[in-house]
Amino acid sequence: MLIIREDLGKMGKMTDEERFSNIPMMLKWVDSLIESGNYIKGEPLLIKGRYVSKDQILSDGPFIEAREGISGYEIIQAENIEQAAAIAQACPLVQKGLAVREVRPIATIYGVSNE
Amino acid sequence: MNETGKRIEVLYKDKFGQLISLILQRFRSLSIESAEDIVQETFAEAAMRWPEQGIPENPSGWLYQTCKNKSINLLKKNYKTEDLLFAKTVSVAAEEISEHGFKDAQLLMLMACCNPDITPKAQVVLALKYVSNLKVENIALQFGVELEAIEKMLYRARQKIKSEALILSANRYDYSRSRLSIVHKVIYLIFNEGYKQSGEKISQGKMMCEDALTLNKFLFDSPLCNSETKALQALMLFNIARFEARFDAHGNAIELEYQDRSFWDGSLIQLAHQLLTESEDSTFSPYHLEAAIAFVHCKAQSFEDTDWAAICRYYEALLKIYPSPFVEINYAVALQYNHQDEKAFRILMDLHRNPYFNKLPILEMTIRKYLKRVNPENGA
Repeated sequence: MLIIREDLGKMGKMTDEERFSNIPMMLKWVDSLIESGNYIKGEPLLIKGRYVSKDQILSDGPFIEAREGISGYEIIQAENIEQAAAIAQACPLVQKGLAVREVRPIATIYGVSNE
Repeated sequence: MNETGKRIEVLYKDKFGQLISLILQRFRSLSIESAEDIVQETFAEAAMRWPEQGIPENPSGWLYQTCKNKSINLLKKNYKTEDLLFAKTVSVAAEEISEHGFKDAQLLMLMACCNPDITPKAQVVLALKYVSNLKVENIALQFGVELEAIEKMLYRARQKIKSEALILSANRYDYSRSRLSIVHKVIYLIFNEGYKQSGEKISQGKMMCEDALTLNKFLFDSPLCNSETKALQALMLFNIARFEARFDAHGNAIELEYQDRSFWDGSLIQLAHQLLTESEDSTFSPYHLEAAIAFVHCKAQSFEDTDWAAICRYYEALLKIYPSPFVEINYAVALQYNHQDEKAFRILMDLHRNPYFNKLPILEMTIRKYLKRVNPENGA
């Protein structure tokens, strides 16, 4: 991370206003490409080929919306339901009596192969 | 666990893949399995010796030296003399491996794993295992597949490598530019693995994210760097800027709406923003769009300020170049905030009816959240 922090030094001192003064301009090119529809390389995608592509690998990612979007659930990884319950029990809100947590296992994934 | 144990655990996470890569580069006739065994044994030895004798002054150097000695012993036993001669010609001074050297070795290993003779997905799996030492079950979660599928893939990839030998070039520029897109994908997934950790694993997770950022920075500073490299770096920086703000003091996740935005790192956001601007090209990759989405969140002064219409537009574009159930789920959440509940529900239900994707944990969670939000009485 240090070497990334070094880059920050090079950027000089800017105030927040200066930093984001060009925001309205920002991403104009992304928007213009989307509008023109020219951002797809090569041939248009075939509906039939959905989710199946030679080079693309389907995977999870650090998407913000589903993980941080709507309050209410937490997924925890635990060896078994007892351990999961113990983890939930340790939640400070539960300890203070401010919340009750329901612990439920999530179905195992099977039948998915998109190699 | 005591201090020494903790220190060894951190080194194990950080250096495992790098040590494998370093000894494979030095001793070309070693198999990937032997290299793995040697590194394991070395850590076992450290766990035995260090608590009594104390942590060496240069722990990484000690680990490397021990791995090297073990490799030499093994090769002597197997009469691989060519390699031994090579090892002798390397002077002691040249063997001082810096942190930079370790990282460089790791990137080299990553590029070697992205071998076009095996399928793209197997390349990613192999790299996640050997470059970042990810557990098989965690790799399976990243792809939304069964553990056995990943084990099989690893097995086949190793067989293939055994028969053709994984060539580790001494120079990363020997590898073709065509490997770059898979290399980016691996870095992206290392970052994601770190980013989704919570509770006790937060600091470990942060290390993985920084690992991913540093690997990509090496690419960034090399002649291989392209517009995708820049966009990926921007995407990771937008997210790392918000890393700590996502948790309360006890390591519990805080939803985006309730995060204290003054804890977001403004200078990292600024750097990310600059890189995203620099990444402009005549076309764009999924990383460009994901970075654009992260940027929209980062620039919003408050949750209520968020430009959900722009986010939805970027998701639509993303789905066109990268159709994926993972992306659709996130798009559905964005649609809800853009007051398009019906459309969101339709997408979620379509996925739910799909026998391949209806078992994704994140889908089940999103549907339950949706139902709870539109009908709070409903519970879950």
